[in-house]
Amino acid sequence: MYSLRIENLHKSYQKNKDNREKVLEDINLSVKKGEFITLLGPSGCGKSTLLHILAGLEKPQRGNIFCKDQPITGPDQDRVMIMQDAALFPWLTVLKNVCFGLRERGFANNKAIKLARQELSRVGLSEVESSYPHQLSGGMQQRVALARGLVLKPEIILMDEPFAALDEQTRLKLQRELIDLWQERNMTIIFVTHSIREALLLSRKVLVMASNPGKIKSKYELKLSYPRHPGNNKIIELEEKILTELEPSLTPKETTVKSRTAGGEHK
Amino acid sequence: MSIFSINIKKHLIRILVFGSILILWQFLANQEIWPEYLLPALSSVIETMIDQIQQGTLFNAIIVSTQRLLVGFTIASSLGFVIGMLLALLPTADEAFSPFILALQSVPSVVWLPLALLWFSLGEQAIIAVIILGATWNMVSTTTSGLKNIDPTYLKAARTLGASKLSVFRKVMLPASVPHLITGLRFSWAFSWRALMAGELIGGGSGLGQMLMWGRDMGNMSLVIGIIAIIGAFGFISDNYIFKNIEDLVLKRWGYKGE
Repeated sequence: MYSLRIENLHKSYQKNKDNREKVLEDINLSVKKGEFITLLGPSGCGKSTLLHILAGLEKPQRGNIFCKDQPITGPDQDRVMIMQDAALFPWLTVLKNVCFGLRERGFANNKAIKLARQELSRVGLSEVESSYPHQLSGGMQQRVALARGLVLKPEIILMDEPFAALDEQTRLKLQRELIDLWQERNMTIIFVTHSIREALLLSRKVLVMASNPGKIKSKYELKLSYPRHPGNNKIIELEEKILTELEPSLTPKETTVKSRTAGGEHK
Repeated sequence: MSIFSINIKKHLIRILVFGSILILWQFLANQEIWPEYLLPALSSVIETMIDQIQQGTLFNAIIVSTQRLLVGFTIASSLGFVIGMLLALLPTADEAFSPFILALQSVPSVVWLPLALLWFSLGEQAIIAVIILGATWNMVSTTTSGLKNIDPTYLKAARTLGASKLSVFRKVMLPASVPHLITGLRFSWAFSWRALMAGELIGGGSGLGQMLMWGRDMGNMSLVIGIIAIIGAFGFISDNYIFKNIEDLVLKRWGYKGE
């Protein structure tokens, strides 16, 4: 059984009256339980849209998506999403934030608090349980957001550039912590990033995406052990390779741009 | 220089300027440049007000006005909140009504007086009606914009954490819009206060507005000036000290303002 299966997924947005913009084209992907996959690509390649569709926050035009062989129809606690800004609720304490999903699942307040405290102590956040989000640093907020998702024991964690807004040191630290958590608990992670290095440091599988329309261009498997170091030869070599592969997609071809604008002007 | 001493300096300048204006007023009035019935001296205003305090009429007027204000403000802001919430939840209704709400908002509250007098005739109801007509619309639009401008990442986060539509509204949208709502209440209070004074100038009873009109009818300029000063001070204190502090507290708790 796969954690996640995507078959012939297409997504486009209505741009104006007669013009649709293709965002994702023919995405196929199978993810086994416990895999760590990164979706890597330039901005506008639809990687974030794909993650939103997997979270159930957006609907595809065509195609099938299954989580544990069940079709995905909407958001579910089995697929928790972690966003770039931690999106903690500022009017709730850290503890109450972590309780949020548990309360929605129907746990009584006492039970929810007990489970939330357990989770917070596992990730070393016990001493900030009564702080409010704005009193914490960006890195701490992201840790709390992760705890708020992990406490629900989801099948898949969907991460949308979660460390992009953090400073270099904090990012490296949180990347390590994420790897530890992933190895500790048998969970599936789909991680969106635009940083080639981040993708190579974290995941077993890197899916490189191209834009206009967004599709999966190539796959890389990385069997290096953890913790990985940015100076590792294999990583440097792959980084170079992916960079040359990505470069053309950073500057869209002249012809495609022209034909698209021309199409718009006819209307 | 520390913030504390800057604050002291700021207050000192204010007191000095305010004090000099009062002294200048008293000094000019003593020169008898203008007749007493146009602008009486500071001393006679103070004398009249002390007299009113001793008779208990001033205290009574403040109580009567405050009661009306609280009733009108409560109805206007609750009504505005409910209408605003409905408009935020029903985009089509919002599109249809928002221009009217904006138009109603720009109507000065005194304009509602003839209407209120026709509907309710002279009395309490007419005054309360003027407050409601004057203060509701602003609350409607602040509530609607507060609910519509919530950071969408909160809503996304809540939904992936398994929140139902009702939970998203009750546990995320409402608390997320509290800072907006507090600002709305502050404006609603200020609008209510202005509308109340407009209503009291015509309506019956014994509020501050009526005392003002009574002073005019009796040719008691000292009373008129004194009441104007009290009306100004009441509005200033409630807005700048009471509501501002509540607003600051909420903004800090919600993390929109440093501690």
